[in-house]
Amino acid sequence: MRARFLTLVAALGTLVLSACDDDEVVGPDPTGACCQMGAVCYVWTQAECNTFGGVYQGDDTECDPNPCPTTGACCDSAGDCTIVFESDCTDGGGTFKGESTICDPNPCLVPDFSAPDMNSTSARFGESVSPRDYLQKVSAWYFGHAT
Amino acid sequence: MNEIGQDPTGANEAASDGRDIPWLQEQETSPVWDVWHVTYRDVVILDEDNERIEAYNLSTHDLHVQENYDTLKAKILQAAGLP
Repeated sequence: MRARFLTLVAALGTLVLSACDDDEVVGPDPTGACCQMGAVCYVWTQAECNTFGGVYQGDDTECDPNPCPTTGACCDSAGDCTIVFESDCTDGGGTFKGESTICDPNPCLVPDFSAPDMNSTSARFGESVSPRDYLQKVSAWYFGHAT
Repeated sequence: MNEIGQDPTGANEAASDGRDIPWLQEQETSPVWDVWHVTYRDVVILDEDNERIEAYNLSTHDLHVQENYDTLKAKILQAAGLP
């Protein structure tokens, strides 16, 4: 009887140990926010996030509020505006105007120039005129031909 | 702003005759037509920060048409925050 009892205890111990081992192996992986295609957020494990090409934000991070970057207006040196992520904008030498900013109306500062005023009856005749002379004012610039 | 190469003798004087606002001549050293991506007869409206609001083309919107004239005027006034 004693031998059978010890066998039973040993067997239970094995079961307990097995159960503990299994818990360590199959326990749920931590989850966190995963940013897909920039701004789309899912709560996934890091492995799941990586599988689908996302950017894992860390264990226990959440999607509310959304931690994923959003796009915004990016101004290049010519004053052209595109909607991209901030990192893409700055990597390309652009100026990021902020998340969720838009290109219409165009938020980009126009490139400066200066050109001589040829109109002899203008108050600025002979001077170099630049758009920067009209900061703080609305201005309109006509591009035509004198011919 | 007169484009480079469009300034034969007397042309700028003729273009600005009777007007008292600046009439500029584009310079080789500052090719603004290319840099601003404008097309012939564009009117580019800038706000107080020198940010481009929009371009209104006078070839497609002849100012002899009252509606076009009023539209351009309204755009400029709107940019200035005026009624």
